[in-house]
Amino acid sequence: MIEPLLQVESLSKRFGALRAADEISLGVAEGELHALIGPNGAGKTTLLDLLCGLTEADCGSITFQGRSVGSMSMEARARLGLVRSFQVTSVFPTLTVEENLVLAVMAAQGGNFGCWSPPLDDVQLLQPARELLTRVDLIQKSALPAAALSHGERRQLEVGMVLATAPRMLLLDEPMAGLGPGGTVQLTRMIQGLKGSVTILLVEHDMPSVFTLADRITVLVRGRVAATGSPQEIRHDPAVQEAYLGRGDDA
Amino acid sequence: MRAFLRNERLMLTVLLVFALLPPLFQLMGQEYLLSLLNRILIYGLAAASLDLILGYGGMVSLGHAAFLGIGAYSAGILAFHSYEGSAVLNWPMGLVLPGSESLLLALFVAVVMAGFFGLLTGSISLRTRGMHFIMITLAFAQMFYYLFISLDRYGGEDGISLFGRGHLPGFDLNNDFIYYYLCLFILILFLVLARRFTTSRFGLVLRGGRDNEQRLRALGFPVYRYRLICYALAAAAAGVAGVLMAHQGEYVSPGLMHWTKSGEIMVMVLLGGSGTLVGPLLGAGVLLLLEEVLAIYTEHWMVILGPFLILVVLFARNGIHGLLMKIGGRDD
Repeated sequence: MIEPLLQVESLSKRFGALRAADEISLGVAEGELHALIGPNGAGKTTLLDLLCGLTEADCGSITFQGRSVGSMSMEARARLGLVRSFQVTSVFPTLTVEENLVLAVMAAQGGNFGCWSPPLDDVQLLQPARELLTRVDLIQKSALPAAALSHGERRQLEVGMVLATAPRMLLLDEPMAGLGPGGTVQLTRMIQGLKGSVTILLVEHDMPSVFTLADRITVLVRGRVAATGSPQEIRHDPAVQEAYLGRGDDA
Repeated sequence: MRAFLRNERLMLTVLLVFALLPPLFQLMGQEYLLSLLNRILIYGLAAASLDLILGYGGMVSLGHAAFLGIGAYSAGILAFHSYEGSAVLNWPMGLVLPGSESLLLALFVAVVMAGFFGLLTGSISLRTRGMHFIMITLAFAQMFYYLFISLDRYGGEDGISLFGRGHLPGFDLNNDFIYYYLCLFILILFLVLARRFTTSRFGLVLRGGRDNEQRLRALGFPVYRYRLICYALAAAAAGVAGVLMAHQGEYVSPGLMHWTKSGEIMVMVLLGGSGTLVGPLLGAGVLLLLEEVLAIYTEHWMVILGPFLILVVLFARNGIHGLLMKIGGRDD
């Protein structure tokens, strides 16, 4: 078996008496879409915080691309290609969708003190921006100001801007949160389109989209890994059903 | 894109009106209006330069008049020493700057001085945000105001009177027509450069910072540096407007730097529509015309002007520019 892109070994984090992460081990293979589910307070967001470098683990190791990144800053991890997209969407509202992405591409390319030539005439910027717009399903909206986008579309734009930094692995924190059914379907389709080109660790409450998207699922319960496996295996795992899906929340 | 083109069209229309009005005034025998129009043009330049900071950079500066004043005093002091036959600067090692009535030299000195002080005060003010930024820009401007009031050699509170409009080879600037069209030429030059600037990579980053500074930082852009450069460039442009103003009225007053002047320029930007370049031009026109017209009827013209401005800010948030765009059709 090839070494996974991201390998987590016995990662632990305590907040006082609360074991938010308790000896968590998991591996995510290159190109895989790995979903992280679990009841509220299971430690999903804590795990993402630990992975992206927002908080530091008490013990355990995180290996990304064969390098130990456990003590690196968030920026250093982002430079290696381990990038997190936050729950709160943050875009440039009065700029057009296209300008938002052009700006993100400019950030990735550097050399942006030019005062003369318009970036929107620059193929070097426009082409990658357009490709990203296609990938996040927003090419039809490229001329609209970002403020005119729906909530879900803004998420898509945000993901597009994160993708502009060419990440190896994307940590998505509840992208469907606060979206209506239509938005959820649309965003699921977009993430489906990203599968394969970028490795994704997806934290999500919306079970239908998790079971549609995931190659493998890890279930967290009270800071511990309760089960890991394919969607089929997870659906039929008795321990999981009791701890989590037993509430009749089955997909 | 269409909105952008319509903005271009509006700008061309406005400039065309500015170009055609003087001959019209002459036909009507109302030449005195030319001087008002010229002042509108120059204030328009000052307001458009503030628009770079305010509208595109999202920095609410209440000290822009300082740069106008620095420009005006550059012209005034050069001319003053020329009349006196003395040197402005007489430093060792041959660093001598004699007085001069050359307009080009005045423009050069004004751009350098206003740009330099823009860089200096900007480098401090831009470390603050919001209300603090407003107050600190205001404080710097008042500092310059009191500095020039205390300079007895340069007239103190009385300022400097100029004798004639200075020289530009090949042009008689004392001819109001020629001077007007020179100002118009400089304004057009500025608008062309500013248009390029705001649509460039630099401009896009600047507008991004206006929208969402945190996100721009997260993308890795050094927001402070972009803003500082923008601030200094706008200051330099205001310096140019100051020179033109000094020569137009043949008078330099410290009142030009008073914070109420900064406020007036800001009102022009907001009234006309910020972030549009052409809006501030319209704002300058409307404000100065209103002042002129209302002053005929009552000396308390501010009582009328104040509520009017409040109404505009409340009901036409994008100013005159926004209204014109609405009349010209929806965005798409």
